[in-house]
Amino acid sequence: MSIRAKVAAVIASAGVLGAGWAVGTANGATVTTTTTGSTATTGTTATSTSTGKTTTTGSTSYKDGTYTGTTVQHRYGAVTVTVTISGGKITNVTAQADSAGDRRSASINSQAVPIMKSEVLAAGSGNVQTVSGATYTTTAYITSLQSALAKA
Amino acid sequence: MQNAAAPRRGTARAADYAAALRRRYRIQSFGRNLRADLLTVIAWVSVAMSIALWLADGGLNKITSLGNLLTAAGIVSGLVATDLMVLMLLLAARIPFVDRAFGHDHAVAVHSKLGKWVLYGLLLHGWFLLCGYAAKDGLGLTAEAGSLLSVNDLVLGVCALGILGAVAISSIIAVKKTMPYEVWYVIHLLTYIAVGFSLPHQFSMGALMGPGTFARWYWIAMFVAAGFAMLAFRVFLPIFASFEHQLVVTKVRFEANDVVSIEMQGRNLPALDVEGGQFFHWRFLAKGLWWHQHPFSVSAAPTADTLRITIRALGRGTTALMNVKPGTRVMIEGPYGIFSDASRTAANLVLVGIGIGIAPIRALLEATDIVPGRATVILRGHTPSQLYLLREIQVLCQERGVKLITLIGSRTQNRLNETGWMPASHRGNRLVDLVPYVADSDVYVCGPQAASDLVVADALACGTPADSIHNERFVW
Repeated sequence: MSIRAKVAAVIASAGVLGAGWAVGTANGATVTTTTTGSTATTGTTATSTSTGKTTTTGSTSYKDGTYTGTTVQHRYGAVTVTVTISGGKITNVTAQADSAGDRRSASINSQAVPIMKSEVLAAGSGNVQTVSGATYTTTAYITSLQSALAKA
Repeated sequence: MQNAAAPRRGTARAADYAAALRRRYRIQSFGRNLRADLLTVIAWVSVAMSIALWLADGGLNKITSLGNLLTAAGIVSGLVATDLMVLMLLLAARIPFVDRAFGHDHAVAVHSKLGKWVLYGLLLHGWFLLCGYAAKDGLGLTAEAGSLLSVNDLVLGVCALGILGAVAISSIIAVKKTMPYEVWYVIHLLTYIAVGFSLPHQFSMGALMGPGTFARWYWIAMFVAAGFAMLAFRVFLPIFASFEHQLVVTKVRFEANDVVSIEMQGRNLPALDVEGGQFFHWRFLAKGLWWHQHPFSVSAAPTADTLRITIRALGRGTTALMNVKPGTRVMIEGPYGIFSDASRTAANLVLVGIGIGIAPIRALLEATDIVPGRATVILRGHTPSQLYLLREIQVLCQERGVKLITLIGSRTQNRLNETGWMPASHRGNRLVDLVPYVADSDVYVCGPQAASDLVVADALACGTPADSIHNERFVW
């Protein structure tokens, strides 16, 4: 390996790594703002996603009651989310997360569901992030949750 | 390649010719080094890319606990190992552009070196993820392993790791020597199964390669490219070439007791674009021979309809080839290698052939460009009968103004008890004593590895640049 190749390889690799790092931190920054600054971000995301949401997350609230979302199948099982609305706000959310039968999935589900529950209660809406390491379960969770909230 | 216009020695035009040749070979080697460097840089960037995609996915932001740190280390080592495995496949695919830049032997050497790192990377991948998941789940290692192994895709992944471990062990030099080539080859073929087994868990469990992500497409493209290169250059191209050229053995001539020249005739051979000094993998379709494949260099510059190899009975397979009959059909993979005009760097030339290594030297002598009076062929054998193809080489040397030196006898030791490659008649001599211009020459060496290594060391000591020393190793 010639010196020229070594130098070029180091510079090019550093460039690629730097670009990856920059993209990663830029995305990370937006993630933190969406989770921490609740009022400001619900507004921005709501306008960008749909107009219907502005009304639900904003002044007008959900109808009281208990709503069960559709059962969403994913690669490692299925998730059904039930949401309870009281006083126009989400007061409880439960989920039936079935694993495909393997213990690893069951373990992931048992960790992810409580995290999702606390995130949903904190956000007061279906506008929450997936949990890394449990992407399939939590993506299905959010889909089911939103279908439940759509009824409310 | 042979330039019929090479002038007689001593004329004024000879100097011009030498200068023109020097310029041409300088440009050629510059281009080849540039391509080799370019490929090296691409390889390194691909490693960086595998990590960069993880960084871009916010990999660093997820490190919030020890468990996450271990998991991240596991993910990164898995990604790097996977990238190196794709590079290994590309190196083993014998892609002409790669082989012509690096040389087939160098490509194989890099492939073997990477194998070790892939295995280390995958072992770390498994270990870090096991520890990381255990820490996050608050389980012991065995409980975590049990829980992980309940995922089908992961069971396949662990099987893949086991197979790759077996392949790596079978490729350690000491182990490789104990088994026949065919056994090793079949074990090596299991690599494809291992790669296949490893794929499901990468795409189903790796959040990084989850559906809809850029990384998923990137890695799919990498695997498809490697698979395509393998199929195209290792499977379809050889089959196509064998059908296209329809090689059949026409003449079998004994050069010595245990050495035969096999001449084959075929259709449309110029399309193969063979250069003297290159080699093929040959498969003779006769009873008891068809399941062996052997690498042999051509021993004469190919003509429009013939190829010739000269081989010595050195093992079970080559001994059986001594009895190959005219009319036998031949399948080929190749041509491979840059032990040819393609790797020339200088106008002066020194060709050293030892034993059966004389065969490719003979073909190269015929095919590469030569400045009369500035080229030397050195042949060495234990006995005069081991100077194979001597008659032909004498004629070629005379025609082309090349000095021929024959050395007969075993290797000797000098006064310092260092083994030299020259026989007793030249005890203590160095390459520069036989060829005064060796420092400013291309030196091509072919022969048994121990003797070749000594010639290479001698040439280096005489001042020949490493770039100008060509010693193709027979590797598999």
